[in-house]
Amino acid sequence: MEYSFFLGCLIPSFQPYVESATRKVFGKLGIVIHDIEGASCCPPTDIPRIADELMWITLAARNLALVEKLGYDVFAVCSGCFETLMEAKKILKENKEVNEKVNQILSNYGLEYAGKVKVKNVLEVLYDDVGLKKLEETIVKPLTNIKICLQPGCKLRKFDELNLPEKLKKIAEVIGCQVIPYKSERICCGFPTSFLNLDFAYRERSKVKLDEIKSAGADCIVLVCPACLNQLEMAQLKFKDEGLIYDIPCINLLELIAIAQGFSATSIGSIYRRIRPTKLINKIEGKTHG
Amino acid sequence: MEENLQFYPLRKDLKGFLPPQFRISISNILSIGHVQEFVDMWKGRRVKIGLSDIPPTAYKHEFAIKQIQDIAKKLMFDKKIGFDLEKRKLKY
Repeated sequence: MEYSFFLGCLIPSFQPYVESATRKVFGKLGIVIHDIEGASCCPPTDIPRIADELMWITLAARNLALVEKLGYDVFAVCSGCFETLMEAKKILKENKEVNEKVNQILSNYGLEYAGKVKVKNVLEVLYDDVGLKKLEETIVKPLTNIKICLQPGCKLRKFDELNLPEKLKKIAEVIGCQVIPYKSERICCGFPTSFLNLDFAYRERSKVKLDEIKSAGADCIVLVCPACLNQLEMAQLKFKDEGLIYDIPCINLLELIAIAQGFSATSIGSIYRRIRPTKLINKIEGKTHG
Repeated sequence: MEENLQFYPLRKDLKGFLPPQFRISISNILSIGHVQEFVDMWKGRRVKIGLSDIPPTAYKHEFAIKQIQDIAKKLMFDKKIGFDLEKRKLKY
């Protein structure tokens, strides 16, 4: 299996532990990853709504054209990038006029988007293409003593037919985690509303979730969306200043898979984050060596 | 002052087309190809965990930024949002 890896912005520049974990997990599964040299921001779907739709779709199509040049289907870990590439692909397929305009511009750089490659979420690659059985075979340290709450995020729910939140849960269970349900699991982390009202985003969205996750007794929050990770970490720091301590690490699913495959948290870079998952790592390693 | 502005509307402060919340991210896309800046601090950390020092995207490749800016120019997006392509920043 070979794929192009769409990195996006937040993961390589701010959460490199997610990039590192993804490369390690895929390597262990025997999947070859191809970098998309010169890919840009996806860009986010907010841009057409507030600025210019043609600019947005041309930049998205440029990224897809770079993928087509490589010749492999593309996967994204970032839920925002996945949403953009999926939406752009749909518009380019359905709207001939836009497709022609975009391709006319791209031809200036020797690029063409013909709609040949598939766009996949990393969860689809792991669940559908690799399969839970093969994934399970690579697990050497099942994380059976770890209790987690999931944060699928809004964008995974946007594509109902793909059933991505369920795939997130099934993969977390295969690596041994005990998934604890909580009432506000379907609620947004607060990131999108933070552009308009940061206090509302923290208090009416992030805090609602953090309170429930804390009460549920989870060791960590598991997610794939880098924006959710950012928001839920920042919210914890904000409330720490007010004397409210949560201390719940926000961990990308790929990091947990890599740890379950035998990679150390240090080699992945999981320590390079705002809320260090020291307690969680000790718990995992205590179980491993015990 | 208000009266002056009534007679000389062009003396008003230019506020630009973009809502303030999106100015940085859109300006960053046109100047560095990404919404998030890449800070040098991460180079060493990336290498320590087995990654290339600079991500192999527009962060690394100037050709990508030039293409993005050229696309903006062709679609007159730079004019629409008041972005100075030479200085790589918003005019106002």
